[in-house]
Amino acid sequence: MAGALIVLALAPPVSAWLTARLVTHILGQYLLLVVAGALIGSMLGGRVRAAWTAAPSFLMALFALGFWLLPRWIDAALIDPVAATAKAATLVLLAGMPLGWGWAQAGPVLRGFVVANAASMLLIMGWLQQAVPQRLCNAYLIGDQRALGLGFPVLAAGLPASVLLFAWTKPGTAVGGIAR
Amino acid sequence: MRAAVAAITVAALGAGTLWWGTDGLRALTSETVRRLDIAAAPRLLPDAALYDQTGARLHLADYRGAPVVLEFVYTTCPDICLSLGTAFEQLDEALPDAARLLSISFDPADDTERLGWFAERYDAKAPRWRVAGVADTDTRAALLARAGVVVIPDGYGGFVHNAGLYLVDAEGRLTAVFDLEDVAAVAAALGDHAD
Repeated sequence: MAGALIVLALAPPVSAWLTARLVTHILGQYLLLVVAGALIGSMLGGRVRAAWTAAPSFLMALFALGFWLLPRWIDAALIDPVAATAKAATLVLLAGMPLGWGWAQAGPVLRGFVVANAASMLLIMGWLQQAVPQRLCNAYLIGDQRALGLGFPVLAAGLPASVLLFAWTKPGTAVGGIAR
Repeated sequence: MRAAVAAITVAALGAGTLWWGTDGLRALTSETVRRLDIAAAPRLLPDAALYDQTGARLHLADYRGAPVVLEFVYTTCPDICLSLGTAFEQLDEALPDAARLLSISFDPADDTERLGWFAERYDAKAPRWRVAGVADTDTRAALLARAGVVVIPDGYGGFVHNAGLYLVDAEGRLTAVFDLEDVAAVAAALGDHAD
């Protein structure tokens, strides 16, 4: 499943389509790579008990995502094959996998904290994309920026909703991690 | 305890990476990166065969020997290029007679007639202020790439591009990019180059 998501995100025709617009680049390709990594991390984390690694894992994912959300690196990944490769590798290995692993290790309080923070950060980033008058990425139109500004709040709403839905429908699995 | 040590280690590595990835928190956008790079290491612009609003043929290298201010525009641009034109109009009034201004169009559809429209709008007169097209497609692409000008179609038949006022020294090196509002800074920098 994770491999299929990575192939889907990076296969040349799909990748070209996804990266043609900022909103599909971030909420399409980035999301596919992060979810792929999270599936791997969740699977690995479900086999080992190391609760102390949860918070550092989330922190690692935060920095990796923060780096690749910088406009200069979004632009760089479009024109520099080295940056593009580093982006794909680190979104899977340093953002997605730590998220999945950390989720499997974290207790309900830390999970709630992470979801609440992620949602609020997405809302702020959405507002920024709407409010900043200049184009932040040289490779994308201002309209793309505004569309991403609408997409972030949708993701902010969808993230806690999907976690709640998953917890509701599979209460014993603790959302893909170790049953507690 | 080990959770705290691991978290601090990850935070330190993450902060270090972000510091590196933003040039010490100075550059979050590629536009800022471009300007910092050019200021730190001026770039020699490739020579390009040009044609101006009068139909005259010339080369970018003809400007070597004295500093020149460049801008990159397209003549049917409805917004940012009008502001660039106004900035050049102000420079035209502010700079000494010997100074030269060059508006370069990146739109291959801009022929001599259209360059003339743009020149007429701002009363640009060669040789003081030339409005020029680049004769060759590959050279145009090389010139834009060297200057870090990114041009993308806007979906309505026009273009979106990063705008700026470009200072080129007497050796043909791009030494600085200014915001189009920074006319006074361009004039001051041109004075420094001329000294």
